[in-house]
Formats: sequence, structure tokens, C-alpha cells
Amino acid sequence: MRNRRLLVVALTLILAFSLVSVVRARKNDKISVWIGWSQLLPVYQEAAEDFEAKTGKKVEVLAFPLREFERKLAVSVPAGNAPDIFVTSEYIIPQYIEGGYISLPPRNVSKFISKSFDPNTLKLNTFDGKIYGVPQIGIARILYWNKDLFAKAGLNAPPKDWNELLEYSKKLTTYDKNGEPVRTGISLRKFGGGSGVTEKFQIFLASAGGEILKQTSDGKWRAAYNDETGRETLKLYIDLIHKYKADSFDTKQDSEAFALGHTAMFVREFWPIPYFKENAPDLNYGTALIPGKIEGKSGTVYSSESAFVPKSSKNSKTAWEFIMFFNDDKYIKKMFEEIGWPAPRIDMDFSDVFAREPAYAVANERPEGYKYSTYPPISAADEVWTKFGERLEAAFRDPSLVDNPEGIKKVLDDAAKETNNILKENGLY
Amino acid sequence: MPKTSTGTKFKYKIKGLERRKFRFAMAVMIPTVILYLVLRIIPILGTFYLSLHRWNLIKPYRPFIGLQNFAKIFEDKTFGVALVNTTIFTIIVVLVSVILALLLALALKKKSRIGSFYEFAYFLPFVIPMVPVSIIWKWLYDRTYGVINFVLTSMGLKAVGWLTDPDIALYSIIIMSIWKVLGYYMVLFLVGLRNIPEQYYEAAAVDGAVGWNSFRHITFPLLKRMTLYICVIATIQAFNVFTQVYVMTTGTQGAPAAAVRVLVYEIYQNGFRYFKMGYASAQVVVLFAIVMIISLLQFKFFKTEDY
Repeated sequence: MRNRRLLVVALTLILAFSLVSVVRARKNDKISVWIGWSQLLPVYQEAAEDFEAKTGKKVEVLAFPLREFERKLAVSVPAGNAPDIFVTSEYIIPQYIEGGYISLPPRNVSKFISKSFDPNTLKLNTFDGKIYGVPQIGIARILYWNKDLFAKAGLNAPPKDWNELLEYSKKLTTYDKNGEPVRTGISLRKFGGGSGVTEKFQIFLASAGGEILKQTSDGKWRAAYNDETGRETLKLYIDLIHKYKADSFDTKQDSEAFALGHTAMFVREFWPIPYFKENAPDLNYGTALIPGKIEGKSGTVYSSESAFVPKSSKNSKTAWEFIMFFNDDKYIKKMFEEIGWPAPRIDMDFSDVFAREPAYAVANERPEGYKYSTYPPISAADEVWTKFGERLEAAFRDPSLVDNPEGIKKVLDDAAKETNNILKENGLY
Repeated sequence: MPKTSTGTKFKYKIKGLERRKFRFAMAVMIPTVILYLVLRIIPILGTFYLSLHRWNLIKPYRPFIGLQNFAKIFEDKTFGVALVNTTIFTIIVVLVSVILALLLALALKKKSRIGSFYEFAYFLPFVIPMVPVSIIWKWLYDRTYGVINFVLTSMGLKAVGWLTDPDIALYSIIIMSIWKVLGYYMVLFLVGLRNIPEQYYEAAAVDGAVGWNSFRHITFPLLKRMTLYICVIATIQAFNVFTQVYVMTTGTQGAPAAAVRVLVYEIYQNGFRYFKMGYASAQVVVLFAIVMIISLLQFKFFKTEDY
């Protein structure tokens, strides 16, 4: 009787242990991926389905609005509840690397990274001499111009320098009887999300040879936009908005305005290309490099997003396996062509994509002297960009800055003080 | 059986019953009390604790810094702008919505079929969640395609940048916010008004007190408790304004920068954008103190003999 009882207990324990093991094993086969760009979801989901079909391992992909995604990371990564993979930018990741939360890739992945990606992107993603993530996207900002509106204004090519940018913007603007713009020559980013405002300002700043921050010889950082290039860039905005009224706060803005024919030019990443294809298929437009302050010497903003595996991942092997799986031509080209997110791969031929969608071809252009301005790999970058953006938003609305170099200088000097204080607070100054 | 003995026995029975009732009441209350502690009291105490630290959500080193976060608030110009905007928002929303709600409630006091329809119509906006309401109003306010500007321009008037003009944007949000809460406060006033016995008015009418006199000496004093309740919740809600500001004034199609910066938005930015939880908590403590002081003042102003 006693032996039977012991047998029952033993069998129950074995059964329970087996069930737990099965559940754990099943659980271990599933990995989770978080992304902050919902546009990428279809491609990631397709890759996840193919991966499961091939390996039997399940991948759950979740997309969140960018800010919510950043919040979720901030809460989950330090708490050890992060997903197995997350995709984020070089200016978000430093704080997690500093905190010791991110894994280094295994040898085969490191080898793949070093031979497959554009060296500039790798440089951007190197922290203390190490590369932690696999770059997924590398985007330079470009100029969009409406060919039909240009033709109506007697123009047949995009502006090559700032003088032409000003002149064309004036020509392309139409006004109502009160002299207010109805259709703008250019839609500059003037408001809506502080860091985005600074980033678009940074595009023109880069095209004049300037930077938002500069690194000193001791590895610290300083505000750099309150120099001649910064003052010239702010002047360009003020002239376009207030002096020539070639842009307006009251008309439609950005890609939406461009799709509706309410503006003739704007600057952005590549994602508007598939957006126009879907929402404004008859739009006759071209893409071009950002015009420099001086012809032949220009620049733009370049940023990247990489896939990272946190140390808390229980399935890091599968996570790296999936990242490698995703780097197949099929998904990389789909991501570029259908979503407008190019991967900075040097080992792939994108000529077929450029042939099908010529607007993307500018992604391949980088003439000599064309500068890529990037986000610095520091944890305070987002706060610096956002707070400077808020000051820019206020300055853009200030008509007293027209032909007022002292006023422009004061705006930038005051902002630089705030930037340097943020850097100090973070031990970066 | 001696009377005393019976009495004692009965007394014990009652006590036993009371004890059981007490135990039952405690058992029923404990989950609620625990939930309240976990979801309310502990987070509030935690916020006070965080406010005394340099607490970055991501960085593992979180030193105690005393009152430094509070000292920084007084130098923070953005916080100052947010405080001024929120105060303007609160004063206008509370005053206008409470007065309008009272007037509407007085007009709809007598029950009728048409009155019920108006009650429903005014209450409806309160039922709709804030996010869809904000999106609808964002479209109504749209400078190019908005209905409001369509009406204005049809009448030969100039289109207005309701959400893009920094001088107007805050007031546009105030209008929308009053519209949203008006029905709720009106229903609360109606409850208060309908609980005032008719005999009071009849007796007052005999003495010649009608109209304003009747309102001043009967309605308003008897509505004081309800008015206090409405003013307190209206003030708390107004100081916590966030969703409509976030939905209506961010994005690439119109955001008037700091002109509509409010306190909770500022706290949200510091906490969840820059991950400065310590500093954001200090701002929450300041907001808590402001709302607490105003609520106490309201209690003092509306003091009745009941409490």
C-alpha cells in the first residue's frame, strides 16, 4: 500500500516535471520582436512566418507608436522583461549599452556585420569600439520637388544651392488677395515633435557645413549650432517664412501638403515614396540631394536603426538566428521598395529596385563633399534635439528676426546655453 | 433564569453578532483597502520618494539629492510657461463650465420630454472618450478643411488658425474642453436641484421671494455641497489636462509650440521622453500641492454648517 502511494507520488512528480519542461521548451522556442515603426510590421511578420515554417520556432512581432515603443523599452529593458529583439536607433541605444543591458553578437553575426554594411553606418553604431546591433535601416534625408509645379513656374530642375532654393521657393508660391500663401514654394518642418524640428533644421545646417553638437578632444560635447552656419540656417528659415512668405504656418504641411499639391518642395526620408504611390499615384515628382549653401558642397542628415538583443533574452540564440534570417535579400528589398526603408548593405545589388522606382535612386548618390550629419552616440541626444526644437519652433514664428542678425544670434546663443546645461547634467560637457 | 443572566446572555449574543458583522465587514473591505493602498497610497508615497532622487528610468545609479529637483523647478522656464497655461486653462474651464452648467440645469429643471432630449444631448460629449473627441475637434478646427473655417469664410470672414496660431490655440482647446464636461456638470446640478423640496419655494413665494431672491436664498445655499463637489472635481480635472493637448497640438500639421504647453504634458515629457523620473516626480509633487491647496480653499469658500 505504502509502495503504491510512493509510486503514485513519483509518477505525478514525473508527469508534472515533464509538463513543465514541455511548457518551458515550447516557451523557449518563441521569441518576441518589438519595433517602433508600424510600417515595418508587414515585412517583419512575413519573415516571422517564413522563419517558423523553416525552423518551427515562433516569432511574435509587435509594433508600437515610436514614443510608446521608447517608453516600453525604458521600463522593460532595465527590469529584465525586454523582448528578445528590438530595433532602435543609434541615439536611443547608448543609454542601454551604458547600463550593461545589451548583448554583443556571436562571432558569425559580427563577421556578417563587418563585411556587409556601409562603413559609415558601422562607425555610427560603434560604442567603445564594439558593435552591438545589426543595422537594419540607414536613411539619408532628401529633397522632394513637384515637377508639374516647377514646370508651371518655368523651372525644370531642383535647386542646386540656397540662392536657387530661395529664388525657386518664391517663384513657386502662389498668394491670395491678402498676400498670404495659398500654395507654398517649400514646406519646412516648423512644428510638431521637437526632435523632428531640430532634425530637419540639421539637414540644412549640414548642407551649410554645420553640426548640432561637436565633440571636443577630451571626448566631451558642446553645442555647435550657434556658429556662422547655424545663424545662416536660421536666417534661411526666417527669410523663407517671413521675408518672402514662401512657406506658411497656416497651409497644409509636409508630405500631406506635397501629395495634395499644396507645396512644391519639402525634405524627408524615403518613406513618402511608397506613401505617394498609394495616396497620390498621379503625382509627378522627383527626388534630389539637399542643395548646399554653396553649389557642390552640401550635406544631409543620416541615421540608422539596428536590431539588438538584450542580455535578458532567454532565447538569444534564436534571436540572432532570426536577425540573420531577416537579412535575406527578400525582406531587405521588400523593406526598401514597399516601405521606403533602405538597408545600408554594401553586399547587395539594389539596381532592380532603382529600376522599378527611380525616385529611390538618389539613395545611391553621394558626391564628393556631400556631408552626412549624424546623431551623436550619447544618451542625452533626444533631450538636446527636443529642447532645441522647441526653441526653434518659437523662433520660426518670430517675424522680428527678419534682417536681424543680432536677434538670430541671441536665439541660438540662448539655446546653446540650454544644450550645454543638458550635456553638463549628463556628465557629457 | 434570572433576568440579569438572560440580559447578559442576550448582550453577549449581540456582541457575538456584531463581532461577526465586523469581521465580515473587514473581510469585504480588506481587498478594497489593499487595492487602494497598492494603486493609490503607495504610488503617491513612491512619487514623493522619487522626487528626492536623481532617478533616471534607465540608469542604474539613482542617488539621493534632497530638494535639488524642487530647486530646479523654480529655474525651469518651460515649467513656468506650463504652469501659467494650465492656470489660465483651469480658471476659464472651471468658471465657464460650472456657471453654464448651472444655468442649463436651471433651465432644464422641470422634467419634460424635450428637456430629457436636451439633457441627453448635453451629456453625450462626456460619454465619448477624449481621444476620438480630440481628433474630431482637430478636424473641425483644421485651417484648410475644417467646418468652422468653412462657415467663417462662407460668411466672408477670414479663416482662423485655431490650433496653429499661438495666441488662439489655448483658447480653442478651452472651448472644446468646456463642451466636453458641460453636460456632466449639468446633470450633477440637476440632481442637486431636483433634491430641493418644492415646499421651500412655495413658502418663499408666499413671502414674496421669487426669481433672483429665491435663487439667492434657497437654491444656491442648498446647492452649495453639490457646487463644491463640482468645483473640486472640475479643478482637479482641469489641472490634469493632457489628452486633448497631446492629440490636438502635436504632429506636423499644426502645433503652436509652448503656447499650449500644460503641466501634465511637461511632466510626461520629463518622465517618459527624457526618462527623468526624479525630476518629473518633483513636478508631480508641486502639481499635487497646488491642487490640494486650491481644493482646501474651495472647501473653505463653500463651507456650510453640515461640515
